[in-house]
Order: sequence, then C-alpha cells, then structure tokens
Amino acid sequence: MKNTIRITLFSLLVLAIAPSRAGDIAIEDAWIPEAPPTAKVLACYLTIENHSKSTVMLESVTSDDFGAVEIHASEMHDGMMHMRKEDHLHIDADSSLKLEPGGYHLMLMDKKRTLKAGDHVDIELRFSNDESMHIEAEVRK
Amino acid sequence: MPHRTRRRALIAILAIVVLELIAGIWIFLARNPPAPQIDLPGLTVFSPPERLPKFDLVDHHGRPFANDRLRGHWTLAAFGYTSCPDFCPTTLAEMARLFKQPALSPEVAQAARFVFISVDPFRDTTEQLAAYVTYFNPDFLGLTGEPDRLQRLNHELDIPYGYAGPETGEPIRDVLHKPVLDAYVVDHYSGLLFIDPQGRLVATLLPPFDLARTLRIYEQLRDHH
Repeated sequence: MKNTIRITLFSLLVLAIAPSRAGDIAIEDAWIPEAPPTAKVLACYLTIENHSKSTVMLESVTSDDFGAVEIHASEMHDGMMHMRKEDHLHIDADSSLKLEPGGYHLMLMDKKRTLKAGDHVDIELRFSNDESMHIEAEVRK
Repeated sequence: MPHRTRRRALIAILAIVVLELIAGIWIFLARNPPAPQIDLPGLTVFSPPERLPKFDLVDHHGRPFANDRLRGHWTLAAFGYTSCPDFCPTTLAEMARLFKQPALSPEVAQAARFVFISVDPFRDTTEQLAAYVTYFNPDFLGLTGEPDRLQRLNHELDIPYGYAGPETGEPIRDVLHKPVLDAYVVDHYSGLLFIDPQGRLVATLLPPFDLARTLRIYEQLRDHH
C-alpha cells in the first residue's frame, strides 16, 4: 500500500515536472527570448528528452505564429561566429539534447504578431518515430 | 695613479653605472607599468595598448562616427547583425545586464559606452539599428557604414566577416555587394573589444560574456590604465 502511494506520488511529480510529453519524447523548458519589436527573426530554446531505447530525430517544426521555423546551429571557430541550418537533430536513446544560446536553436522567421514577455507561442514538433507534439514556448525577458 | 686609488675610482664608476641602471629600470617601469596579470581563457591583453586603425563609420542617428568619438571614455564594442536570432541578442542582453545598475556603479557606467557594429549594412539601416540596440539599453549605440569602410576596418583589425547561405554554409566572398540570396547569414567576429579613453585597443575577450566574468575583466583593465 505504502509503495503504491509512493509510486503514485512519484508519477504525479514526474508529470508535473515534464509538462509536454507524448510517448517517448518529452520537452522541457521551451522559451523564446523577448526581442526588439523590429527583430526579423527570433530563437526558441528547449530541452528534448528521448526516453526510448532508440535514437529519434527532430525532423520538422512549425508554428502558426511564424511563416517558417528552421533548426539552426551556432558554431564558433577561431573567434568567428557561424550559423548553419540543420536538416534534423539526433537525440540519442535515453538521453536529452539541450537547445541553448550559442548552440542549437529553433529559428523562428516571418513572425505574424508582436511578441512580448509573458506571451505563449504554440509550436509543433515532428519526430522520426511518427510522434508529433504541440508545446507552449514562453516569451521571456 | 697609485694602484689603490685606481681601484677606488673603478668601484665608484661601477657603483654609478649600477645606480643609473636601477634608476633607468625604475623610470621605465614607472612609465610602462607591466601588463595586468589577468590570465583568463579567451582574453587577450595588448600591452602597450594598440592604436586602432582610422575608421569612418556612421551611428544609428546617421551621424559620422570616427576615431574621435572614442575619446574621453571607455568603449566596449561587439560586431554582429540584427537578423541574428541567437548570438547577437544574447550578447546585447548580456551587455545590458553589465551596464544596468548596480552592476556598474553610476560613475563607471557613465564613463563607458557600448557600441554594436553591424557588418550587414545592406539590411541594417540606421533606423533598424536604432530600434534594435536601444531596445536593450537606450544608451547603446549602433554603428554601421559603407561596405568598403566596414571591410577595411575589419581587415585592419584582422577580424574578417563574410556572408553565407544558411543551407550549405558556402561562404560568399564578396562583402561589397548585397548577396543575391535573401536569407543569407553573416559570419562575424564573436569577441568583445575593450577600448580605452585614448581610443586604443586594450583587450579582446571571446564569449561567454556572463556578468561576473565581464565585469571583473572590465574593472581590472580599467584599474590598470
């Protein structure tokens, strides 16, 4: 009995910590840094957790608030900053991938509305295992 | 001359030479203090500071910005472009945190400027730059210039920039004309330049520019100059 309560409480805790989870993939802490109103592009950062026993790939991203969303990587070589488009992102089995400033980001282009800190943006992520999920990214100052 | 007197004279001359040497070294050190001992990854300190090449840019108000505008205060400068979604806004947000009270005391903040130099003059008009940099801090100044002037400045500072297609990463060598490709990305120097009130380059710092690190470096550089 005690164990059942423990397991139930633990499960609830896990659910509370992982707000977006569909099947084997969970998304943590999706956020968009607030940008100047004239900014033509924005970035979205998040952590993708793969709880399955095989590698999954993030294959495409869309959002009704943006004309296009691409997966990009920033790289530094010899003090120079380069930005490149990635066709997809690999997330290894039982591991997670963090998209963060200076590394990978979702590049949000052609914005349809002005976004301010506190706003939420619905983003759809599609993965190679046919999983598709909607997440809410928060705009933060 | 007796042997003993000659030896005394020799000792006296030697003593004078040694004293002069000591005095010389002392005067030299007083005039050229040793470089601050800040040994941090990504930091390059120039001792003595390097004169900046002559440049001829324009600020986000449309006013000329040449070397004379660097005199009388410290300047922190970064390069980038406003269509950059990741690195540039992160740097500007970090600079905004540095210049926001009380990270820098009011006196120090007033004695320093931050300039953001856009190397994408084809898309970054002065209006676009003004709205972009002042969003982070109303005192920040955006700079850009004619493509040939920007190219010369970056070339003379040995920090080249270039345009590239985001798909292939294939560099577009020509920075004097707007790339045909619409959504080109800009490869640019990621470091921060520390310029002293005489308009000389004191140090460069590569990222990260988190508040504690940047503040400590800036204060140490300032105290040694």
